[in-house]
Amino acid sequence: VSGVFARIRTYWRGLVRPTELDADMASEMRFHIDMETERLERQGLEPTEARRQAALRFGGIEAHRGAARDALGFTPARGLSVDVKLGLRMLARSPGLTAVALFALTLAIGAGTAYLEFTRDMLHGHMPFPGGDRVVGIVNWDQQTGRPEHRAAYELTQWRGRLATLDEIGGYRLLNRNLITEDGRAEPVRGVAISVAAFRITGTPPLVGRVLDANDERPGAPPVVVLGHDVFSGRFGSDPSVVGRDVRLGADAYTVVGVMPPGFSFPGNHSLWVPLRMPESEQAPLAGGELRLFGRIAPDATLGQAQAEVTASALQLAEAHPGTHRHLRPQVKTFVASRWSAVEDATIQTIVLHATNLFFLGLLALCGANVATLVFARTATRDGEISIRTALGASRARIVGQLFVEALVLSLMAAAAGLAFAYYGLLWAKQVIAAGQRAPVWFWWHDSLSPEAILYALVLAVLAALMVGVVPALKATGPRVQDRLKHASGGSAAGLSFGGVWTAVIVMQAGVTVVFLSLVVTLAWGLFFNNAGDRQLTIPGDEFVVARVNVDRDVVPGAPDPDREQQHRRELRGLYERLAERLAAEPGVAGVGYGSRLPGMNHLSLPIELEGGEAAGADGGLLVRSASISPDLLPTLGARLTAGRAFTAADAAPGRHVAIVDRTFVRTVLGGGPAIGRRIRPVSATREAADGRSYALDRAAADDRGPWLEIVGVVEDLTADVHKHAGDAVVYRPVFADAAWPLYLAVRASGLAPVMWRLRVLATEVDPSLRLDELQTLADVKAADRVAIDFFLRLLAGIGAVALVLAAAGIYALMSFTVARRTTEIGIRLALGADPRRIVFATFARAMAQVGAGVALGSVPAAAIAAGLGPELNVSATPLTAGLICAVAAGTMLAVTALACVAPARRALGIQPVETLKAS
Amino acid sequence: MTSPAELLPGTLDLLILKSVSLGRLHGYAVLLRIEQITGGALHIQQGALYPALYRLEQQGLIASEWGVSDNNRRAKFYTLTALGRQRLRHESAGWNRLAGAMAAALGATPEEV
Repeated sequence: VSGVFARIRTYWRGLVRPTELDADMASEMRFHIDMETERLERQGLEPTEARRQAALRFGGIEAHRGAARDALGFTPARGLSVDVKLGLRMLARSPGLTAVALFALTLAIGAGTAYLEFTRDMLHGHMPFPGGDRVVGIVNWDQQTGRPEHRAAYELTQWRGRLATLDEIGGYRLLNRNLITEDGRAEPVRGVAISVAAFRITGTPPLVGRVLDANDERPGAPPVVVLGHDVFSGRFGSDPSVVGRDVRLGADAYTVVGVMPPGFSFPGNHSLWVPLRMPESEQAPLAGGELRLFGRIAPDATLGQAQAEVTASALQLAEAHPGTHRHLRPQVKTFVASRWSAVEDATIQTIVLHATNLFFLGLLALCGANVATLVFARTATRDGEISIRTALGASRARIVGQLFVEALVLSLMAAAAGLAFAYYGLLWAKQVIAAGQRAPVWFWWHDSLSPEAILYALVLAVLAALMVGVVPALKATGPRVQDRLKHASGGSAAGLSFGGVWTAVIVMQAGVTVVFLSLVVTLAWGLFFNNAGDRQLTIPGDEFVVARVNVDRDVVPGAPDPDREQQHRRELRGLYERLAERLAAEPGVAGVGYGSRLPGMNHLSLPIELEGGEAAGADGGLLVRSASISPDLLPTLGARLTAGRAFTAADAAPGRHVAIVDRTFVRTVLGGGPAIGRRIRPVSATREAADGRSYALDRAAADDRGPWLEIVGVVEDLTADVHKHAGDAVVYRPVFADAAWPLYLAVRASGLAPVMWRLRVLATEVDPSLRLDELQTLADVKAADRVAIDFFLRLLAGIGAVALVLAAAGIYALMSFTVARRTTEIGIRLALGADPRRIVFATFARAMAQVGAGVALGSVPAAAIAAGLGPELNVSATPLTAGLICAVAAGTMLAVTALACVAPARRALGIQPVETLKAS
Repeated sequence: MTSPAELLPGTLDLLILKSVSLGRLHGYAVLLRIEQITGGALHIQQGALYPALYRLEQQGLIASEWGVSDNNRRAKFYTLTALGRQRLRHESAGWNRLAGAMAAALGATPEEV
């Protein structure tokens, strides 16, 4: 043990105070030589001779000190620290290369790490409470339809308390209701009716009051509710006396019995929990509405055993109730997995999710190869240094090791930056997802990076360092290094050349960049131009309050029923009309209207045909956008008619087939001709149904086309853009509120905040079950819709920029290298009076040929991508468009190549023949 | 007097341990002590002593501390640790066995075979 301590002590000294150790060593050896000198003097030698003899007998003091250091095991560590210092110095010496390399590697490592963390959270998210990993979700899959069957109240009654492998089992159903407080304030809240088992599973104690218990589930027990912390702080000012107060959820009264601590949420992001009660009528097979099951695996059981037991029980149910259960097979998965997998067998999804890591490894390989090219070019300029060190006896391993450590310094810096990139990138992605689903992301998604992700980033850094450091180093220190020694004195990179491998790398790089760019251009085109319709309002968005109007619906047993749907819509229309009447009487309200979409929202596409136009095929027709609106919406919005008349209330009646189109429609569809009196009709009812029931069509029409609609008016565009095409033109149809689905309300008012407040109060007064979701200004709607598109546009811009910067850097390195290698030759030719332009051309001919070959090679798949992907994104797929996209990509690449050549070309032209000849 | 024999590999460590076992010594004194106890029969390159000393210290067989020499100079003194004493006993036994075996082998006569 003492031996180990001694070792640690000397190591520690060597690490923290290496100079002190060296000084001690020197002092000890000096003492030795002094003593020996004195002894020799005593034997009669002259002092000078005595000192000479003593030094001779001692031997080389430096060699012995080196051996002593070796004995202490410091040499490799010292070498390493020198290598690290050298690496840092090399990075500082070529800041351009360092910046490009850091940029590329940071992006590749960061993106790979972010993706790994994302899939980890998605597939193996950890429920943040004790035993969270044993929580499972149980989903019945219908073998016949391949779809999940979520009506599971019967299963819950059958399995509760009877399964040995699940010590808890429960169910929940969503409860989206207005939470109405004593002051009349009503706001929709995301809640669940849930088995009290949930609170036993999470084990989280309440912040105030109590959680739900078994008594609350009994029929006839007083209705109680537990509040989430966000509701507690947001609606009740964190006042603990809320416990015991009465609140209403829609039309029903509840007593608050407890408040959960911040961060608590189960099963999803919910803010309110009421006990799940299942009346007798719901306890028959497939009775009741949707009820999702969760459970907890018993401590001594496994997921596999739970699955086996549940399956065995399901087979018994199938035997007992063949009519309903013959095709149902339950699946037990970890709770997180049960939430995301949309198919019964998620193996393929999982494999795809994991396999996508390969894409990011590919990105790293691409970036790494690029940086390796740059590093090789730089290593070439250090050819002399390497040759001389080799001649002085440095082993090849030592030199390769040094270059590897240099690269590792770079890639570790990139990994650190990449981790920061991943961290902030994931935060951003979560914001995008939250904005997209209008709700927070799953509560089990942590913001912090997991240790696995950090380790993965380090592994990627080492891989990158191997690629960036070792490959060029092996090439630079190859067997021919001795031959190159004779060139070393010249200071040029005469001995090294970009051989076949690098030619291939450059050609590939140019090609891949062109493919990448055309992909980016196509995607950006699709995203940017096709969403032109929902950009930049021409009406003042901050003068309107908008909200989606919903009415609470109770869970109704049985399959979906169109008649009930109709009845529900009629009910909603009645409530809306009462609300609109009350609103119109409010001070400050200038107008009220509704629509299935409001300006700035992503309008649905509608294929139409034009009367007297070319006959549309079964699937053909012009694609325009459409909205079903109240007759008074356009005046309410302040939209100006440029021709014809506005809608009248009578226009919304069934059997009246009229439409108003916008100016883009007139310009793109009608070619600027007269619009009033022209007729159009939707051409595909199936397409339309898939669009989400947004058009009140005459279903009695035998063929799958809608009725002819007469254009009665033309309105100014409500969104501005100079790039609009036919796909952005909007057709407005007047409908009653029961035919506008979803039903968005728009209120024009002065002073929006009081109106928002009054709106909620009025809605509650009209009916407590009338809910106003997504209450905001019209200007904010636009922002929320744009977040996802902005995210992808920025991502694409980022990828495009990386591809271009890397390509430019690679070409710049190649050209610089070429000029450096041929300095003498160029000098001589200039001295002989050659035309400088011809020299530049001759110098760059090979490199330009390589880039040109790459661009040509890349253009083929690039054009294929533009042609293949274009139609998916509503970019017209004519050869012209594909060619244009391809040309833009290739042109950009060539422009960047030309730019990258400017500096090396100037350098070549600036070569002074006399200087060059002197140097050689 | 015959010229001093070259040191066999591994013997220097043993000689240092033995010297230090006889008392607290600085590096130069270790050299003198080895010369003294071997009767000057072994040749040691003086500087080579130090890597060996550091190695032994690193292995925890000897310990060092700075002190003052007889002529009042600052010097580093070495002492044997318990671990070093154990190692010395073990190595000495091994060396004696080897020496005995070698002596017996080299002293063998045709009659004995």
